[in-house]
Amino acid sequence: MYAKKRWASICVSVLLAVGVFTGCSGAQSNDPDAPQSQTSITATADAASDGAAANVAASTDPFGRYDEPITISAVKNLGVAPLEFPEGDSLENNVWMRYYKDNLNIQIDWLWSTLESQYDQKVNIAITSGDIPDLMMLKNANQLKMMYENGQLYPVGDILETYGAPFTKEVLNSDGGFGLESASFDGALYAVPHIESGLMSSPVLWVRTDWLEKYSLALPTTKEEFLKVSEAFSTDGAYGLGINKDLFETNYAALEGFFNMHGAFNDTWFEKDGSLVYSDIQPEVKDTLEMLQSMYANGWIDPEFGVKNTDKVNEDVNAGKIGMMFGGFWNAVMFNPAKVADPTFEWMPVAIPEVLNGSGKAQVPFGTKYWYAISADCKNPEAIIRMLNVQLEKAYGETAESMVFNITPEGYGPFNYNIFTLEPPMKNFVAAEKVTKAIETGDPSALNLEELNYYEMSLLSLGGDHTNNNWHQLKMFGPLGSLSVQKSYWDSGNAVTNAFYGAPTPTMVEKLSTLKKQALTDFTAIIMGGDINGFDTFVSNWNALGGADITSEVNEWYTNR
Amino acid sequence: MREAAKMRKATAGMRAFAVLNYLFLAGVALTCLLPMVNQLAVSFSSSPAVSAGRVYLWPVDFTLESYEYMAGKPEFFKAFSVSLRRLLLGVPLSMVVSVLAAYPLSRQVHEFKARKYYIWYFIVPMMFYGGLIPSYMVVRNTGLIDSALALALPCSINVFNIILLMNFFRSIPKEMEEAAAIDGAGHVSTLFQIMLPVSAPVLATVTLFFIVNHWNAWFDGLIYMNSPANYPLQTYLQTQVVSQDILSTESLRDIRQIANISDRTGKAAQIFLAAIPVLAVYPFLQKHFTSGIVMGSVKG
Repeated sequence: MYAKKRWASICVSVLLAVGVFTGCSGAQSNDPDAPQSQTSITATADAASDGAAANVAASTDPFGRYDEPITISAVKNLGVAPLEFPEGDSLENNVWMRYYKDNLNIQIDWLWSTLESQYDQKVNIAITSGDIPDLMMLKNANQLKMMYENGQLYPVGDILETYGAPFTKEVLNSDGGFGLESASFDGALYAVPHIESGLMSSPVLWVRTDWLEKYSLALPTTKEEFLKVSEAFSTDGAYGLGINKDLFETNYAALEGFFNMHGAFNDTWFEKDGSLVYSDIQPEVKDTLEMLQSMYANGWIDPEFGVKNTDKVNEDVNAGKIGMMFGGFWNAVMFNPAKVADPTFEWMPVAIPEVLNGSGKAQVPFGTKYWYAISADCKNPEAIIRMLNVQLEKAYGETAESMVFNITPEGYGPFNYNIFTLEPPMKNFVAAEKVTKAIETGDPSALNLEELNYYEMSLLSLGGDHTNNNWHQLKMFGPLGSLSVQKSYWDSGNAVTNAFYGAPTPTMVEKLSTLKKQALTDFTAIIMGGDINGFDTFVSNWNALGGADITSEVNEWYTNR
Repeated sequence: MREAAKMRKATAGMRAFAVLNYLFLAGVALTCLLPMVNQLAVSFSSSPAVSAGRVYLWPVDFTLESYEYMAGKPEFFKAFSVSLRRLLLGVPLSMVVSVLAAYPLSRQVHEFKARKYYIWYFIVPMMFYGGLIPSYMVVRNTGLIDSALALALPCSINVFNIILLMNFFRSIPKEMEEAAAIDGAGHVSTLFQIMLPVSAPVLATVTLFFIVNHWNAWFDGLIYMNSPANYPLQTYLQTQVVSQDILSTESLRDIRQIANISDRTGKAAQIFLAAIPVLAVYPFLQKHFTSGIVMGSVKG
């Protein structure tokens, strides 16, 4: 008996001790202001710059070749499907790798590669286990922040200034410097941002134009016309407006565009009376929800939308049960199969009603969604800047060889064999303009190879062959395509860009995802016939549950930036 | 008379219960079966029919297209062979290690004095798992990253399976071991010549558990392998089936990649083919299954 008791007490005390230890270490590593992590940043940063100074090649030529071979370790996000290479080539040996070897004397050592859907997870493991490659692409801002706090990032500001080619700097600054600022901590640049046009993520309205003809209606440009079309489309088991259960962020059958129609936004910070405010708690949202509620009550929205994800909604679209939806410029790829099966099935992307001619404004998310991080332990960080120079120059610069480095005549995409995939942000909009013009004039001579590809696919679709996503390309790049719609928001001055582009604030990391979930639950309840005044409760809850703190942190950033 | 009526009533109630019970169990069985049948139907249907959601349990516009497409897709078969190799390496290894651990633990305390502590040694890690990052670092620091052993070694011990084996060994009549001992058998020959031959049910059960574990594991493939070319089948399937984020412009440029996104019939064909091996093994091991797991768990 006594022995048993003693055994139990030993067990309990061991457990307690373990709990105390793990508790301690957890608190240390989670606290961003812990003194250890601060000192380790300066220590490693100093060590790294010392090491770099010793190794810097004598010249500061942006394209300078090293006398001694240099190895850079990196990891690769392969995209949505395994890469395809021309005969004999591989990730280790292809046009880019050979160019780097021959002209810079740089060898890339791929530590690992994985597909898009698993990339984030592998990066998290790399960061947490300290297994950091010299060069790594980061897909979310939290990872960037975590690496900064761990002291794992090399401060790239100076080497970018010294070794960056003029064209590289031009592209990196082409968004007004916001991308660079998103990668800066305490005024110093810690990563190379991937500059992309946020405009490409703005919503457009997709409309079944064959149904418009059937009911002799015009494309909707105002709220009233939008409602009229919704009503007309909601017959024979079809619904005027398609939405999915996540409401936002899916860019397919989502609600951002609907909000924009009312001058409201989703998950956007914008300036109001001199300070930044969060879009979801603004009074305009209440009007928006009220209109959605009445559309739902009238049967113009699928009563089962609350359980349908984008795949399910897409089945309905392909089955001819949805007449309109707000989504991204690429949405036609999702219903290209139905177009192939039935050529009379026709959609057109148009501007969000009220945006070009009323009180609506299209929301433009922040354009930089990923970053290239250089490890603090990297021996030759300037070599990475040279690689970046080469990538932009050979793919898009004055000496670009697009057919070799971008897309080959055989249809391979060498652009994807490099770790850097930067491009001039307006490239797709320019391509859409040029392709449209070539289709109108019948003269493709001004097109580069990539644009020629879009042009030829569009022509095939115009000729009736919609297979291989030809129709989808036509809907993006062709006349009145989705990219030209997005461009019109910008050209007419009706786009509102998300004004917060800093690293996520502490309360944001902790609470924002919960607040978004709350918004989703409450908005869904209101749309499905709940009390519209539930919105006011939502706003006060939002503020009480951390939203007010986030707002003050964001505004602190806004005044200090 | 009254007694008889009562009996009949009871039997009627029992009959009703049996009917309901069968209905309920059939319903449970159907929820397992129908998704498989649905995937099979999807894999034999035309792409537009699937996109329009017209396919339920029977193929619409029957076609072999997705299987022809698969035949030209080496990645699937590459991953399939990685998984097979993993099974051939991992299952025997797991069995040997488990049997060798379970036999001593099944001894009486007077034979094996430290038994109690060894049991704790196994039980504690069953309750408290070191976590992802420590496991990863162990595998990395032992130099196993990107090798077949990284998939086989870490999951070769499964404490639950060891306990099953141990309890089954204990339920074997003492007299058999005593007889063996009298005939001069040591521990090794007792284990291999006496215990194992009469333990077929539990061995079959544990083998099946290991096969299914190895076949279905995907996360270790993801974190321990450096390139998708070395992914086992389930890891590869995960890359194919999880819905893709096509918001980034890169994926838009590569027309070959886009074609992959809306290809649901091809995904269904791959899912179905991946399920075949376990479906094929099950019927052969199933007859041992019930006795193995019940006998193995009676003695605490």
